[in-house]
Amino acid sequence: MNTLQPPLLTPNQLDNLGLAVISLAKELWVVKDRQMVAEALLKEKGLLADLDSFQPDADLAAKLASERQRFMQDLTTALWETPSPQG
Amino acid sequence: MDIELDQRGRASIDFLVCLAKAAGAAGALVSAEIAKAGLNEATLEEDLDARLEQVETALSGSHVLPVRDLMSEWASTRHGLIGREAFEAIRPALEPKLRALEQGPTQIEAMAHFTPPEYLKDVWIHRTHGGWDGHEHQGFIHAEMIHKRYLNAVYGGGIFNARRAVLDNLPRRDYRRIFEMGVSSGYHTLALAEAFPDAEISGCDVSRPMLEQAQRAANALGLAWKLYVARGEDTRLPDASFDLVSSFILLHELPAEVNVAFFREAFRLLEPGGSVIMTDVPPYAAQDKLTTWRFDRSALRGGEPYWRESGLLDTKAIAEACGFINVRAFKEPTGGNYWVTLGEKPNA
Repeated sequence: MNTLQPPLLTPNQLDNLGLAVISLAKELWVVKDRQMVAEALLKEKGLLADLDSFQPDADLAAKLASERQRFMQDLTTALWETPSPQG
Repeated sequence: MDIELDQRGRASIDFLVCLAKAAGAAGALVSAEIAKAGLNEATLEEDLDARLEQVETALSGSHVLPVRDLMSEWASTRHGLIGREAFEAIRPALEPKLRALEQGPTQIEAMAHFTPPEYLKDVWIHRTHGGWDGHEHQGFIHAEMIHKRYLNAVYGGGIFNARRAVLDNLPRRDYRRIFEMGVSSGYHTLALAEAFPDAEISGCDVSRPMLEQAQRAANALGLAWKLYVARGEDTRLPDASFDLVSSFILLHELPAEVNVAFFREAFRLLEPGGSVIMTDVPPYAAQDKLTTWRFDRSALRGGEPYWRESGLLDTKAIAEACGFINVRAFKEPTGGNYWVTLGEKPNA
């Protein structure tokens, strides 16, 4: 019986994988930065206790969906892209 | 221009700076590995390609070098995109201000004969995404996002000071008509205006988006510069129009023969007794073998297609061959990694 076995990535995709990891790290940093800013603001307004129980409304849910899509696109693009002009 | 980035733009550039500094720190570890492998000024190969192969072989087991390369690759291929994204986030509020600053005493003239140089076709300088003309506001993005917030942070804040400091090497303080080859976004042009406030200042560049940013920088200060979309090696401006011709960190972006053409054009543009000052990275001959290896290897990875061939030139000999006298070529004494070539056009 024929099966498709790992490895899934070709050796020349390893560089892309490394670049994608850094892209993820950048996105994570952006979020950590935002989290610290948001928490500082909430603390200032006395709202920090509500953070865990907060439910996004439709507008915020749509924004989160849009950001999530961009996040995924950045990751997948980094994994499959071909090199840019070397100039 | 004072601008505020949105949180994502600010945090992304913060990350980029952090990554570039980490890559620099990794570079120091690589240097230590090279030394441990017994490679030094005495043992490194003379031939550049042989030296590349020699070091690659010696570091074939290094775990640091591939990661450093990965970090540099990410930073060099992403910095333009990050800058562009940071701009787009604040574009609606910013664009009217940018357009307003295009009105004022400094104007841009596209020379009728101008055609973009073949040698920069398909070249993304410094691997900036899309190249210098890849975005209608690339000049602003380069000047404000990349130069001011990224490069200046990575290189310790001194890159603007150097643009002014090199001018202290000039033999005169009474220049009246100054021309800059390769204005880019105008940072060196501002230094020229500061050093010679009574002079008429002109300059050229092949990128209109870059000149538009220089125009904004000048108009914001009420300065009247004449900016031309033209090639420095073929400006078509009249003979003997200027008493000082300058360029800053431009020559290494040009093929060897165009480097020569820039000096030749500078000689033609100068009046008798005028001065030329061309500042760039030091030539290979003025650097130790390890430094040369580091920059040479980095350039070969992309974004600097003419680094090696321009780095192998002798700018003093070129200037003298073009007719300049009292030519000196030396490392800028006040700091940084800059090489100054100074000369004078003989009095008739």
